[in-house]
Amino acid sequence: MRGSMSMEAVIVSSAFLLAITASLAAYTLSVANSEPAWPVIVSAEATPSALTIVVENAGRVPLHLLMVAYSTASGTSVASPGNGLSSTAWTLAPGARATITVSGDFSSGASFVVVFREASIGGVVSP
Amino acid sequence: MIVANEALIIAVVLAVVGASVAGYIIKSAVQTISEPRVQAVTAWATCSDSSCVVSVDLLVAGVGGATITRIEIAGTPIAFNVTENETSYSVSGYEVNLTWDPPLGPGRESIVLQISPCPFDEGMDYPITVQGPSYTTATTIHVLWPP
Repeated sequence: MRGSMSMEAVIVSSAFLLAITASLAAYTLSVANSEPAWPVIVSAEATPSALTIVVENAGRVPLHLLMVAYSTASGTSVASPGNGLSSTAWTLAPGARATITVSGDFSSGASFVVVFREASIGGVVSP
Repeated sequence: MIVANEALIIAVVLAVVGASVAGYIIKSAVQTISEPRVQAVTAWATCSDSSCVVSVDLLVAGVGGATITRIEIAGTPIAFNVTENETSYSVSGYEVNLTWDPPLGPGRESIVLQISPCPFDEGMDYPITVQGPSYTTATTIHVLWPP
């Protein structure tokens, strides 16, 4: 009879251990998914030949640059890799900076949105 | 013998109760990681008179990923019946192109809408609502205009 009770105790203990492990895994995954993605604009400069934006990753997950949307007096456009957009880095580790350049005439200033796969950030730059 | 039988009954009851509680906790844990939950974090728009580009940042939880069925800006439908192969919409007087990589997540995802003509007025921010089969989430679009 002692043997039967021990077996039941093992079953109960195993079930609880499994439940606790699953809960911890769910919590860990939930926390990992909620890590903030937080790009910050360090500086932006508009010239007659280019829009130059320095961006820092102030979050805790890597950022992957996708595109820059911008508006000037002549309209709204999107610059992407191979289409007027260049950058010193396309993936920003936490704490890293990148200098992003959009070619074009920005002599009258611009508003812009830098779009990463994980997050985006907007700004306005005067000429 | 009577005492031994009672002990066995108590053990079986404890095992059943323990397994039930454990099963409930496991079920809750599995739901936590498998059901997609989408939260709109923020949104930015850059505008001119002719058109604008809106980027919406989403936080997606759950291992299965999530999809979008409808997007509204200030209560006006901008895109609906959103599918992987249909990302251009002519709705409510606007031409909309939606850039996204379905399904969403898990993790952080940005979706981009190009809208013409621009539906926004200068100096105002607008609410945007993103809906899926099992979620509705909203945030504010920070609307930017060139100087």
